[in-house]
Amino acid sequence: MGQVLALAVSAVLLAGFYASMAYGLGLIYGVLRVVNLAHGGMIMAAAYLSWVLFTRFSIDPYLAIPIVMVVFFFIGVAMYKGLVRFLPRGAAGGVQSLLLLFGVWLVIRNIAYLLFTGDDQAVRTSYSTASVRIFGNSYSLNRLLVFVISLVAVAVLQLWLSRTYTGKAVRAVTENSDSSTLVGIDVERVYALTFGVGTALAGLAGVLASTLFAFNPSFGSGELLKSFVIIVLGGLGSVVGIAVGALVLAFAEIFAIYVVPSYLTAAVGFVLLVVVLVVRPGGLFGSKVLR
Amino acid sequence: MSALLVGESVCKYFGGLKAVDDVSFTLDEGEILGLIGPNGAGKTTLFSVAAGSVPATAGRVLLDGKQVSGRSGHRSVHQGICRTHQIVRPFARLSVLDNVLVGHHYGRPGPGHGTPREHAMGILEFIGLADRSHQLPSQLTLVDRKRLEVARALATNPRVLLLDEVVAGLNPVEAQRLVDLIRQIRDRGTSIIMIEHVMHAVMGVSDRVMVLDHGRQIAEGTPQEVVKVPQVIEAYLGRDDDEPTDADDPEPIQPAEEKHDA
Amino acid sequence: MTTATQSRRVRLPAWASKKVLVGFLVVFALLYSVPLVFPLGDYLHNIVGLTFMFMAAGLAWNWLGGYVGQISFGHAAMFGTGGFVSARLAVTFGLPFWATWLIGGVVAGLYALLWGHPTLRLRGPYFSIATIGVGEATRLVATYWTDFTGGSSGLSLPIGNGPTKFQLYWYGLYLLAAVVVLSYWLRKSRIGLALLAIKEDVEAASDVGVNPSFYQDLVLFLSGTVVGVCGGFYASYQAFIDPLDMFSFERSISFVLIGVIGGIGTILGPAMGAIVFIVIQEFLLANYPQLYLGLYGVLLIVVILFEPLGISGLIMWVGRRFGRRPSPSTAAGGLSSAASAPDRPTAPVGAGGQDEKQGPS
Repeated sequence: MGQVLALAVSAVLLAGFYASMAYGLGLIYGVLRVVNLAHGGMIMAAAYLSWVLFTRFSIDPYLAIPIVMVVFFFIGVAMYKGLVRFLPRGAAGGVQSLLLLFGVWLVIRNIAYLLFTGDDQAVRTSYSTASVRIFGNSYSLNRLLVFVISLVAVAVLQLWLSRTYTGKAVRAVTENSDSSTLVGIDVERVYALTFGVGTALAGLAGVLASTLFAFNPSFGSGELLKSFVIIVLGGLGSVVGIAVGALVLAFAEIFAIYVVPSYLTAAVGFVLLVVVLVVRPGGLFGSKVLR
Repeated sequence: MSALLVGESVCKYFGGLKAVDDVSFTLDEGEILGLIGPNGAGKTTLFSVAAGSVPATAGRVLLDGKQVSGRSGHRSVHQGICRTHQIVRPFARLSVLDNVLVGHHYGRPGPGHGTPREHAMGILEFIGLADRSHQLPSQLTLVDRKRLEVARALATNPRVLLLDEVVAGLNPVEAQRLVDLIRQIRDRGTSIIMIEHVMHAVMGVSDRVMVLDHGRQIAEGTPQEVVKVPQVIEAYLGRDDDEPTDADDPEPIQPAEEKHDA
Repeated sequence: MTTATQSRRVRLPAWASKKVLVGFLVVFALLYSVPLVFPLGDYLHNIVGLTFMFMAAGLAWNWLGGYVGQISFGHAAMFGTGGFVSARLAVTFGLPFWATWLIGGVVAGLYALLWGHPTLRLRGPYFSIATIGVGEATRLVATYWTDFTGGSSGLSLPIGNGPTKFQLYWYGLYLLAAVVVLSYWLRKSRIGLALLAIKEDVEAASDVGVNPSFYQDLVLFLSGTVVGVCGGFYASYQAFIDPLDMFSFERSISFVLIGVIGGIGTILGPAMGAIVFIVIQEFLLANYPQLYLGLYGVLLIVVILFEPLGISGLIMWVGRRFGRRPSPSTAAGGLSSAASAPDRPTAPVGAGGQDEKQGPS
């Protein structure tokens, strides 16, 4: 029983990270209807940036978050203005956006290989091994910090979307981009902004990931897949959906160790996805995601 | 005349929303049945159920005595029932001819149609698109796109054709031509149910008319009978946004009389 | 408008055109006999044979990616499955190579059906991401299933079991020929119409009687089987395979690239893409091996932004410059080829109500 509780808490902590990871992908898809296949690559790049800031400039990764997020915001905006903007809208653009962003991902991977080699890296701070006791079990301090930061980030994002003008503009464009133009919203700016925010979130996830996992240039495809699984599980409609999706996935992965050898936990997400789709073709929360 | 298509207490609920609520109808062979009602009355939903692309929550639809499956729309096409869409959905990157050919190749097999091309061109000639057979749908006018939608459905060799607002948005001349076409389709042996808002179109050509409102059936009968039913009048005139699109209704609405619907 | 001239005496199936058939036979005869008459030298000869295989794999990938419109980033799963089943059969049971290829192919095709049938309910990008997962999951399983795949040490094929690299040139050619015929059939027959309809509007297709599930499954199976056979070919070619190479993400990417660079959705585009791929591969491997991922990425970006139909698109563009309209070649059944512009984003239907005609038509 104690072990179950320990695993459950681990799952919750992990879910926090997953939620922050999925949010970026979900935001971009929700607003632009573009699946950012470079999302995983962005996470990986941010992990490396965090590592560089830590090893070269001794900046604690959690403190580096604002820096990384700002940098990646501008990267995202640049990507939109330089590349994504030119894609045709609508159905014809779907395949092309996939391939384009996939190409970007390949380029990012290659740059990482060239700069950092394929070796694993990790960010080890002085407190990396510290632990915290929750309900009688020990958990890595990092995991707790990641969880808290993720919660804060997601909460801030929700507030932004619901309270600020730009946030509301983003939601308006998500609903109906044509009507938004009619009421004076500059849709192109919203798109660029969204891409920036989504990429900044990927940057956040990357920094958090750097403190949790070892990574190399191949890192990110698993995260991309999991983000997507969460979106399908939880739907795009709300942060609640993403939270639920993240929880479901985290719990499935953590408790899968009872059933499945450890090297296959990465596949759990995918299997879960297929099972959900077979049982409920509309996704768990209805057809907002699947057309 | 035998009942070709029969709906028995068809219900379609989406969660709490009763889009179609206990609607029963019959369509005889060789009949044109008009289906009218204010917006949101459930007409298109009923079509989806009748065409088999959406399963009924309760009740069933029988084509020639056999139940129309709700699992997959394509199977009911093979049985002989085909629907058009309110907002036309041509295959955008296929030519007019190819669009019709899809219907031919995947519809209900029938005798004496000649080669696929002959059959398809025959339909296009009938409908008036033969000289545009190699154009893309995007190059067609709205009328022609509607015709294409009908032609494609016809190519499936249906016994029952469900037309969803084919006349809407057309000018009177175009509309009249299309109505004549509908009559000719019936004369060639296809029974028809047509959803329509353009009153004089549907009233003029239908043998019988059924009226839906909020998913429920509020009247059924000949066009002349139906316009006099109080609930029908109320359904149309009692709401701000739903009026017959035709201002000079050749069938002036009579004062309400004591009449119960079917 | 245009009809293929079809001789009454030679009865071709409705989807075949005499012109294309003649062209096909001529090219086949050429490719068959050239190395016999003018020896190409070992290296070039073998590379061309391998190119035939990549052409076949690219064409098969394109059935799913271009004809159906669902991009798979995980085709290495079938490539590796076919390769390892084939190799296993050779090593453990000593079956003749063509049997191992066929069985390997079919197993790969069935595997594709297994994960593909439920996943194809997802449209567009979601299916594609799922294929990434399939590829990765398969790779993981294969790497750790050492009994079957030999783990990271891989499997060596018994010597003398199959054709030499030299002979594989012709087997590659046969494979390619079969796949080209299948490509034409899939595109030009009524099945091609169904696939195009599904790609355009799957619900509307279903509403006129097309069974989307069946046709997608058919393409899934065929695509997976052919790529699986290619895996078997590759195993014979190398006489050795290992999971890291066969199931890698890079392997999956190569199929995407071949398809996209050549011309997604066209009939023969991927064949040209394979040539480009092999050339880049051989050149890069020699000089800048560490750049190939980035180069592929840049290629993808450039193709998508400037000529989404890749080389085929370029050829058509050149053709238009010389006054040749992309002519849909029509077989007697009245099926016009959409190979002329299968993926060009046309103006959306109904946009702005472009009425070219005045008054009643």
